Amino acid sequence: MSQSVDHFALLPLYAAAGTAILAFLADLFVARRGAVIAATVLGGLATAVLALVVGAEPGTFCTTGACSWVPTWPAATTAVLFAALTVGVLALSTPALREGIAPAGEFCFLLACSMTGGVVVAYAGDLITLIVGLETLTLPLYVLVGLRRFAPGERVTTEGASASLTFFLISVVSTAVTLLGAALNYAATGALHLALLTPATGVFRPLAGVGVALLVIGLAFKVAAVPLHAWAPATYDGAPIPIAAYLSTASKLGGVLALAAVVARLDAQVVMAILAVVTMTLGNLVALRQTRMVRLLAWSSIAQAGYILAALALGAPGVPAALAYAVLFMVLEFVAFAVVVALRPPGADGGLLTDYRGAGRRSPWLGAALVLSLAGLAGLPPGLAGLFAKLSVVDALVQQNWSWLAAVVVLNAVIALAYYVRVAASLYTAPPRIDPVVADPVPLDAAPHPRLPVSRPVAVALAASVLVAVLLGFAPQLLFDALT
Amino acid sequence: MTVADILLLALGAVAVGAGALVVSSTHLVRSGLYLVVSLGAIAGLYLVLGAELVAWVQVLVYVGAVVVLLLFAVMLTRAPIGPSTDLDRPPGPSALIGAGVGLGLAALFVDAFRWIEFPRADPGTAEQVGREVFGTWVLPFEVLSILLLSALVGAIVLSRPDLGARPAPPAAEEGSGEQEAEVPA
Amino acid sequence: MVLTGNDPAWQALLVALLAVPAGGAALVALLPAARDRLARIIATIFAAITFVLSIAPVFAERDHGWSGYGDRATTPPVPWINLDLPWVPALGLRFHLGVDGVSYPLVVLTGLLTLLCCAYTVRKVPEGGSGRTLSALLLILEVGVLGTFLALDLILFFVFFEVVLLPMYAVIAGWGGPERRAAARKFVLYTLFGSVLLLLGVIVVVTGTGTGDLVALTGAGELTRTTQCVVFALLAVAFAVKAPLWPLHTWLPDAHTEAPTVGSVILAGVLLKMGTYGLIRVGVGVAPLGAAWAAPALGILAVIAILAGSLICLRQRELKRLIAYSSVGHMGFVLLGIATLTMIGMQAALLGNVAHGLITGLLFFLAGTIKDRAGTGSLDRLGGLRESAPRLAGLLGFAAIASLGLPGLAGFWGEAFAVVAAVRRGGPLWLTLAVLAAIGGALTAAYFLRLLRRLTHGPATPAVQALRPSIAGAEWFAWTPLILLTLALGVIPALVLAETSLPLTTLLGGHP
Repeated sequence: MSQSVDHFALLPLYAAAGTAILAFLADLFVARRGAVIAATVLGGLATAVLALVVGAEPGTFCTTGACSWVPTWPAATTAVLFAALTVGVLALSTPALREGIAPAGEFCFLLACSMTGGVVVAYAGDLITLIVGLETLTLPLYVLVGLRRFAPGERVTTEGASASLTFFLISVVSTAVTLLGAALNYAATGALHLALLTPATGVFRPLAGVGVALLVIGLAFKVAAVPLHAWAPATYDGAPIPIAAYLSTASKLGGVLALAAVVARLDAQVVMAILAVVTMTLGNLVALRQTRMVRLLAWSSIAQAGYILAALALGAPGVPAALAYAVLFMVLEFVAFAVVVALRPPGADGGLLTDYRGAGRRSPWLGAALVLSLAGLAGLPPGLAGLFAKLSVVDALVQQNWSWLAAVVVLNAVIALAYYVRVAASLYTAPPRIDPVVADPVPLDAAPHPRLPVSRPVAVALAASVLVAVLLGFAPQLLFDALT
Repeated sequence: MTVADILLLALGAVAVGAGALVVSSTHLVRSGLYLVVSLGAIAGLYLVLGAELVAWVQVLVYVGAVVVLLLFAVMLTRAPIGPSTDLDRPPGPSALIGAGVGLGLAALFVDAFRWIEFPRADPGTAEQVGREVFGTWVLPFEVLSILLLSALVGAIVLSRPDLGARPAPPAAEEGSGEQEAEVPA
Repeated sequence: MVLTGNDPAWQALLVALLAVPAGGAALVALLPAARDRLARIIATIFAAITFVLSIAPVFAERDHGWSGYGDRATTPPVPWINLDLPWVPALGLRFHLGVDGVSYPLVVLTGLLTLLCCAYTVRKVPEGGSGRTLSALLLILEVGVLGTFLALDLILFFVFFEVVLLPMYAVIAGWGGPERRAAARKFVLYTLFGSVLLLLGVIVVVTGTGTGDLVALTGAGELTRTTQCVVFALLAVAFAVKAPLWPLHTWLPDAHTEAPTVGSVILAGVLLKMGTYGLIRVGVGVAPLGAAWAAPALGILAVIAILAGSLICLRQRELKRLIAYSSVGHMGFVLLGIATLTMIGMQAALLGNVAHGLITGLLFFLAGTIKDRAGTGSLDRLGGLRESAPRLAGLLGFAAIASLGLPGLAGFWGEAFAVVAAVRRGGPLWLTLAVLAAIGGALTAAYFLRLLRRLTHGPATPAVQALRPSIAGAEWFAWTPLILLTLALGVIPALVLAETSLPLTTLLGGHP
């Protein structure tokens, strides 16, 4: 009567949900912040390990012809990435949690729920599971963006709350649009399972076409594609920096996976191509004018999403390239955000670009890591990971005879370099010489820019992610193999 | 035109009309009550289509819980009872877009389905819904439980600033204590 | 023991050519600030080891036999040393390195110039940052350039082409003159624009033929004519930005003027060669029909470059800017040689390449030294160098005369035989181009002699009188090899051309 369940294949989901509950219980019974964070980190690592252990299995929760939970190697790889990003963001949040900026138990619980949603998106086999997973990934983030406790005597700001509200309102509208699109497609074709999705024929073609278009537009919000991008810069800037990092990486990855699942089976080429071109171009052009660091990173990640959308515009042949780009981009973006966290006081926002002037000279390792990340995002060595990402997208586009879109992608890469190089160069600018007779500019500049000690969890997260970025730069074949 | 068709059209008109009044009314409480009407009409639509369980769940959850919660929130936050001057967005563009999208979708449906006749499905009794949920959609049903739990915890932690509140810095008390000790000397 | 080209020892040499400077750069960058001078010396040692390694391939036992390449109309180019390992099969990228007669002189030139620049840096670090960082960046630049010259896989060629972008930007922006930020930004954006067009062209070729192997692709002509024309157009624009070719040259004068001395030397001596080498190896090699179609346009642009460069130089008032524009003119001759698509033209281009690297490298060294010591590079404020610093004036005179193409010095062969190749090609267009190029050669002589007259003759200006006349040991070490090689190449051009006829024959689509 009820569906058969293969519990072995579900182990990653159990681990992820179990991590959330464990964080909650640890906060209830042990009530020490360190224990809660440690429990969540261990749970996240267990999720990653179990995803690799399960690997590729026949699906479970099956009906005739299709399953709702489909373990494959790409699913396992993205689940590992979700878990790793969660653990990384938790490590980046530790200094803020130590200050009491958010209650540790609830914070870890919500982050682990988000991770669970991500794992569900990775393994989803039908549209309902996909959308539910996407909501589970996003809903805790509405709360986490706005969650901030103020010390008595500290000025209460409403940035977080307004960012949270913006994010929430636009997100629910997009979910409604997505569900409407899925419903229209169901009305036309009668299929909700991914394996059974096919383009409609005959009388139902216009209806299914509109359904697919709405589905794609609703999901495009999650990756902050233009014209549904307006929430991203405001939300990233108002959120705590680690949560902005999570939004920029894991939340975007969920959107990419959902879009990949849909476009691989339904015809959405025109919509995706238009979205890709507009997103890339607008993202890069507006990023040129930014003055705040996190807003610049937000606009740059909007443009990067455009490159992923360009690969997805090809349909099924472009999905491996899009996923590879997404994974490599996530790693580099996480490195960038980790450096921003390390350079700012705990609980502070991202600050202006001028706050980072000379930071590379004051902290050489952090400067080098940020240069690696920016070079990779621009697609240049030493960020070889980013170079191979761009190569795979351009390769896929040219192979499918979409050379015009490949030309748009590469020209946008040139525009993007302008602002990446500006930020990287400002890291190493010598402080301006105000008056060489009166004051030596170096200590004069060091006074308002104290070199903050980097806490151990942040340093570990940064080192691990830089190591992964360098490894993927020299051996990207590991990733390409894991995604097929 | 059968009785069912007439009922569908009437209830649909009520739902859409009440929905339009929800977003255009300037009285907050009236918006909430119009929402009750709209959702109730949708519950009626479900009944006409034979989905009994969904209709009663709609009444129970949406009308009973969500709208009541809305009205309690209005009461507890002392939101304005009379006409609210904040709701001053010009209705023109949104009315145009909303009406356009609605009519467009309606035209799409009419064009696709026309006069195709579908056999009447089994009534949506509890047994039928249970068979669907536990026969095909167990996984999303279970994942939803995590979603709802995170929503619950999130709502509580956002609305209760005393949860995890940061203590006052102890240095302030020491400073004032020293000052008092020095003055008499 | 006879070591053949595919012997693991030689293959290890190829990898070492890339690994030694990379390891040296990492080591030098990690040394603490207190050991800056030691770090620069260590960098020079690594550069010296790389230079010695770069000379070695000429001793490899070369296999001139024809391998079984089945249904090809021409023989494939057989590298002296060949290393072919898979790297990223999903992208069609193989780690395929090799060296032959066309690339070997450029490899040695790179090793030599990097060694000289590192040695120069030991003595003098320009203002703006630590010397060890500059040395490390020079070594990374060397890795990128050597990789470009050694790569025999199209995508690998592109990857190494990209490696030089950010380090060169850092050198200009960190240690350059007053307008360095704008110049560096212009350089990097222009060059990346060219690089992305290179990427498009490379991917079109790899998609069209299914392989990226330059050995298999050269002269094979599997692509349709239209595809070849499109590919050559993309590649030509990409390499024209790098070379540079008029009208895509506008980044060059600013970059050269604002770069520090060692930066200018590496930029002019080695980086520009990546463009012309790429045009020969990748452009003409992979898309010969496209090259034949675009040759007239390329020839016209090359001659415009020669004339424009010369005319602009006649009006220049700044020393480094004048030498920069002279580079545009010289590269025009090289590109004219390539555009003729004849054996003489190609050999003239290869010679011109190496000669330009040596001579302009020397010119930039000298100009940089004069500018640093006198405090200005403006020709209005410099004059009478012969009176206060006769040795420096003499060296400058030698370099200028070599650059204007005096027979007996290296610069003559490239210029003269590019004109000869155009004449031999025949037809009204090419004859006209040859005549115009010859006029350009005369104009080159004019502006260099004008430079010498202004700078070395006449009364000594105050800036020049304040100049320290003595030449330090490190400077002699940096300049002497260039002087000697200029002389040697002028008398024995076979040093560069000895092994080039076979690979060039294949490139031009003929049988040996």
